[in-house]
Amino acid sequence: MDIEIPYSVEIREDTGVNNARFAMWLFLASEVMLFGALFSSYIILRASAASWPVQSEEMNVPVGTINTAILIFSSVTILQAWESLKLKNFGRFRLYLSATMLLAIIFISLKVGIEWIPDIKEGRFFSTNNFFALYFTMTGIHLLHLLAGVVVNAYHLGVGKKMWASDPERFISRIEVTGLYWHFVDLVWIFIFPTLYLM
Amino acid sequence: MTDVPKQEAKKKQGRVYWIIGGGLILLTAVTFLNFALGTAVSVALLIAGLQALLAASVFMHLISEKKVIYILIAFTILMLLAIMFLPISAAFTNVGVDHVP
Repeated sequence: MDIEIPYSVEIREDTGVNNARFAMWLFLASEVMLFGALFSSYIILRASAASWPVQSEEMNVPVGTINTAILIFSSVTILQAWESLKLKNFGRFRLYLSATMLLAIIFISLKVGIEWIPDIKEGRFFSTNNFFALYFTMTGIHLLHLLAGVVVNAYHLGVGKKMWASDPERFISRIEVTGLYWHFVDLVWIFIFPTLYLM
Repeated sequence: MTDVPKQEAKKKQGRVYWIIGGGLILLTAVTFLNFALGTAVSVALLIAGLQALLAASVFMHLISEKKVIYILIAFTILMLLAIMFLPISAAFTNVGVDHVP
């Protein structure tokens, strides 16, 4: 039995937006609190520490820079995927969404392969000091968010694409809110990079 | 025929995203150059702020959002300031005060 969910696409008169977009913004507000608490912890721990490592010497700054560019690029490709759907070009949508996922996988591979694994092999882990505890926590939580985005995008390219034939407007709305989430994950990294790599 | 201007507008919007994305990547390169030249970290944070502003306003369409979203974001920023600065101010008020076991 199909249940009609109201205002998933059509605009509500009282808010001026549909429920999907409003719900995503509410979710992102809760995410701001999560990452805000982590940045707050960083400031407190760093300011009250007797000594603190020179972060830029501990971190791989060129890889961090490349990863920042990769995430920004993926933000553009997910927007192009959404724009392609609005132009009713499903082939181009698939291409851009696949590119978005590929870029995220490159980010994750660089992060884990070139940064985390060598760090761990050299004996740097959560328990090393407060900086590494924060570094692995913040970048780990961010990476989990990115992985979740990849899973959702894979769903849209796989099982979820059937909706394009049955209810295209709702499918476009889904891609739009997924994009909002994706840009937020990009935005968080834009602050993580200078905070953990350069300061 | 009426769809043609709409399609053109959408294509133009797509080009805007590429331009802004290119600008953001360029700013990332500037951040790296600043780091390589040993410029103050405050410059990197300033650039990050500018990048966030551009991404939020263009990519997340905050430049043309509805009032209800602006209210939600304003409330979120208020809560963010509280969650960041209340613990920080509490931590620094107690600096130098010995903990009583």
